[in-house]
Amino acid sequence: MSQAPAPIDRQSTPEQVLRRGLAELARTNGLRRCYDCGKCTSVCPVNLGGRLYSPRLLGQAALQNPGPALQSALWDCLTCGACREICPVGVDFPGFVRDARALLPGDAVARECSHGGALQTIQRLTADPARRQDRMRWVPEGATWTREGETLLFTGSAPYYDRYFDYLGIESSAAAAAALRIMNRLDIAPVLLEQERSSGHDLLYAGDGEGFRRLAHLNVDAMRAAGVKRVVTTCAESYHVLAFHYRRAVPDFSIDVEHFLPFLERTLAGRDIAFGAVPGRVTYHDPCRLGRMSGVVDPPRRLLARIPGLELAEMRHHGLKALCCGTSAWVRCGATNKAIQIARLDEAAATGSALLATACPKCVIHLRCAQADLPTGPRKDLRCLDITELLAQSLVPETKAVSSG
Amino acid sequence: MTAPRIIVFSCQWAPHYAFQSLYRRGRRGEGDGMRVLTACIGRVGEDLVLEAFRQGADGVAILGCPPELCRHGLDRERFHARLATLRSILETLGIPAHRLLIAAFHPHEAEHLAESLEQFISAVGTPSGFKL
Repeated sequence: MSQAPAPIDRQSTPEQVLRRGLAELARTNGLRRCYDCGKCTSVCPVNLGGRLYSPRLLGQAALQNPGPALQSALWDCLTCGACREICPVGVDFPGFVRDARALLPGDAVARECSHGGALQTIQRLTADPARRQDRMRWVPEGATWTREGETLLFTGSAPYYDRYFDYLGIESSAAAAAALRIMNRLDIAPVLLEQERSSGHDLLYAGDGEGFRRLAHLNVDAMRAAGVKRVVTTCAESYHVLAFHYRRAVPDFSIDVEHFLPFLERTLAGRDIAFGAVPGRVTYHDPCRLGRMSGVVDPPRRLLARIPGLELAEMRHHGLKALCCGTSAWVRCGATNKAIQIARLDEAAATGSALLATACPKCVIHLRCAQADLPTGPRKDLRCLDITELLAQSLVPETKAVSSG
Repeated sequence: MTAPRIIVFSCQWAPHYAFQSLYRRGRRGEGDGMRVLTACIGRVGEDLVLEAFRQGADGVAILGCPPELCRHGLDRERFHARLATLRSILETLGIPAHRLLIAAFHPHEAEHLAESLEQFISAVGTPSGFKL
């Protein structure tokens, strides 16, 4: 992903180069350890969503016949990590898929990305160092923040999602605004970067390692210029790449990265801050990047448990076994993905909750998009929102209520 | 001075005939830029406009038919329904509003089309030099 470009090989055909590249990725991601137990297939959401899909067989095809069928199938993977979680020998199939996409010939992003690739294009446009964005309109009136300091609140692509998904009534930056209000309540005035870029998650997972690296460098340069020592974000995907991939892209990156929920839990420890009541029942949807892939499973539950009157009802698949929201990196969203999203909404509705809280703007967007196509009923009536908005309602008394209880 | 790079998305109906009139007179309305013919401007989404800017366009013009001449009513309406979203995304990206032109022309309005594009190219001004 982030290695220097290899010297041009004039002796091999493109097929041979691809075959060698996939074999190397298979080695680094442990695909050769597979002993055909098939557990990956049994938990793969794409397979459960109605399409015949087996990470195990795809891994074998990658080593034997990386033809067009395999190349196409690599775009169907959600990279949700369910297969990696259950694999008894630690095969990292999502890691293999992520890096293999970068090897595929042609302009795969143009062909495979949903929304015509517009969301990846927005991220690439922000990679212009001279660009002067106008992305701070989400900051609540009266909120306190600084341009320089130790703790950065990273908002990533949220301002763009607000614009692009206005037809769904999406307000992704509401989570960042809620986090800012909570931090202010805790006497923290975080740094906000007016020229912050997307974290680059979607480019990395759509096979554009160079685009990801460019964004990572711009973000890290801006963080250093502002004197940032710790990055906090409410976005699961931003957290995942900042914490686990920025060091590969920017070798001397040494800034601490923390998701907002563990940060909040740690900051609240030993302080006498009262949680206000939010009556009702909520279910929590673990974003793949935050739960399975980063291990942040308990902090959101412990925080929800502190809100008086709020009952947490778990879905059938939760924690490390949570079902994906159906799509990742804005790649190839279709009927199978919709089926997964509706299955997830069914699980949430079965808990009897009126609220579905999560910690990823894209999970909210995907589930709300699926709801838009549904007839009336409990799964359409679920209010999907970011957990930080709920916490702000409880912790910051003047916050407008986000739940009807 | 280098001319700005302009991408013109033009409907294949009314504005295309206006362009043909210009060509017959030996003129190029789009300056040194490129014209992309589309079935209807309804086929031009945010993705294409953003990609044009990413590929280095200094300005993007989307030229359609007047409403009474439109053969693809729903597509055109869908385009205009999403226009505010597109403008809002460009504004957030820091791409000024004057770098996007939306206009409609009758087939007989060749001169008006040429003037509009000349004004647009002039308003876009110097090239940004950005290309990824």
